[in-house]
Amino acid sequence: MAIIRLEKVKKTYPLGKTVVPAVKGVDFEIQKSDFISLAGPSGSGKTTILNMIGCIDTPTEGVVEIDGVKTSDLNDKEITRLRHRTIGFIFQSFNLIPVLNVYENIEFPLLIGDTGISQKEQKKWIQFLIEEVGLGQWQKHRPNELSGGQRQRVAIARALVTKPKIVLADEPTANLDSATGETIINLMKKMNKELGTTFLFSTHDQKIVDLADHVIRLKDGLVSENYRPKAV
Amino acid sequence: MLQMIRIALRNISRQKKRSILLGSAIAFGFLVITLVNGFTGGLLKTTKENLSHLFGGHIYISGSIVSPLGSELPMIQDSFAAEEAIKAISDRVASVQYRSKTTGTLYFGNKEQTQKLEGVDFAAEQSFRTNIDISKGSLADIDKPGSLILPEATAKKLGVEIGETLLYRASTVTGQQNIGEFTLIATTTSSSVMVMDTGYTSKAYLNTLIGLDEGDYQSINIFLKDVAEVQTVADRLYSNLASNAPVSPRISADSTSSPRNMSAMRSSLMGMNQIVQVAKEEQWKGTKFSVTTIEDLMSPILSLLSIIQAVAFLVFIILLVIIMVGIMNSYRMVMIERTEEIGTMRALGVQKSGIRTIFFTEALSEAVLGTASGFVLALLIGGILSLINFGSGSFLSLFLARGHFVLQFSIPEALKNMLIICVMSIMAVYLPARSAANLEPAQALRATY
Repeated sequence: MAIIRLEKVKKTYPLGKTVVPAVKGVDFEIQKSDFISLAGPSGSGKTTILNMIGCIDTPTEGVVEIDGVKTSDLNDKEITRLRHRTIGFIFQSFNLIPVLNVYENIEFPLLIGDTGISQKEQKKWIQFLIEEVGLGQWQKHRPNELSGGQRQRVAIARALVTKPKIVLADEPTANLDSATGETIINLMKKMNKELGTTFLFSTHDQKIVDLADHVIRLKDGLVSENYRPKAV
Repeated sequence: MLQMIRIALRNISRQKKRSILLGSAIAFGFLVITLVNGFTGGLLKTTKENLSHLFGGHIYISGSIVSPLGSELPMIQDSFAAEEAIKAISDRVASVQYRSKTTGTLYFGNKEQTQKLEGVDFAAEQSFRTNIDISKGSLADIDKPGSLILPEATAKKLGVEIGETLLYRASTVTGQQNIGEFTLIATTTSSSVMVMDTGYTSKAYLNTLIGLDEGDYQSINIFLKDVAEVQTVADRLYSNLASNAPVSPRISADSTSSPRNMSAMRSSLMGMNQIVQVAKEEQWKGTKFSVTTIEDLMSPILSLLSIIQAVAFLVFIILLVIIMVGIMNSYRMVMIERTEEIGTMRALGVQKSGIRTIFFTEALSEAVLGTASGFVLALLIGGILSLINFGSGSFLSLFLARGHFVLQFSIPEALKNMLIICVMSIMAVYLPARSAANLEPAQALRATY
């Protein structure tokens, strides 16, 4: 069964007296443990689709199904709970909480709801993630004391800390230099392989698109290509 | 929830200047109301103490008889009923004093001074010697007829020294003028209440001057163990008295007592003997008793303090409303500044209630810290104020304890005001908190300010 399913999804935004269509009717499915790139130029609808999959935005029309659940059937509390349990987020501008240090930022999602993980296991898991993203020496530092690459590593660890089925990354390398960007994508891929988490990331960088197992290319709010560059 | 509280507490230190300004505004409001309450509480306490010292007790039983010519004479002739009534409240009584008193004029050289004198039975009132605060002279000759103890301020005004002789002119209970000779043996610093502080002499000697027998007295002054019980104990005393002897209606602080009656009662307690002819049909046999309390006498002061407290509370509320508008605007700014952060938190799975918790905790913490700082400041300022000596001898000294202001801080009152500030702070951030919680995560993440 597909972990993410979009069916005839449309999204429009009001802009003054006119309505701007951002997504014009998109259908695709994503399988569990895939490493998917949502590619396309700026304005093609990547972020809007990611937001709808991440349940932080709602489609104007169509169905978004996450792990077999239709998001339109849920109220705000249930949607928030679904986000917390099923989805991890990595943002283009990192979006770390400035008053928390590295350890606390990673720990944050675990403390805002029930994850079914014991406290002892939580600590071990956070420590494991910190080591995996190479921030062992930085865990007591606050975000403003870290470089862009380090901040994005924290964001990756934070996205994975609740052991979500899906991690959504909106242009995770856009604010990084190309070498750091590649390291970040490789780290995401490593976590995808090790943990079996489904990673869906948007990008317009072809070098990064080439690293994906599954590519969905968008153009003007529609899927222009949907393919697997190599056998998984 | 704990995580939200932790973030809220850290947010306070994140924008130090703003937090300090908001906290200072709250602290100032709390400081003002705490100082005013402390000041009025202290006034109440010192005034009560000073008046009880001036009038020599907390409850006063005075008596009057009808002379054969039909005049009302201020004296207690048959004290059986009073003794029985006091016995019934003995568990509440600290001490009982039997005094006569008068207000007359002291003459020394070419100077004169109005002075209230109380006649004390020094042999019976042993505690008098230990309680009185002597500034000059000694009580060695206290039992000699005509020995006089005067307030330091009076002695200074007259220019009289220890051992010198003065004349005192007063009215007898029947209204004739009489003059007595007194020798100053000591001066007191103990009360410094207004210009009419009390002087003391032997009761037997004063009685001869005002036309009473040696053993007679005009009032029974009762000191209670707990002055807070004064009205209930006085009511019990009055009903006990009323069952055994004629009594005058209670003159109390309530609105039913006419100012004329209150004034007559104060004059009587000051020893200003007024001769009143009693109509035949209103005459009584034996002693007719009156019961007055320190609170009855303080009613005008209590009313004044209540007005001060009410005005201060109103000012406090106005100040708070201004502060709350400031808090509301600050948190609107906070919401705008943290829109992206709020979006991130919501995306990560924080419920709307979690966002509200952050705002409420921040406001509540600032309110608690502000009030705590305001309270500490009030204690400090109160401490400094109470160190200043405003001197004695003026009307102000009625409200002072030996020249110093006493500020009495009430913890329940402070907690009540703290609660008001906390509730108002929560109300002030309610709208910004609700707006922040209702932000759509996707829109919040897109926000650029």
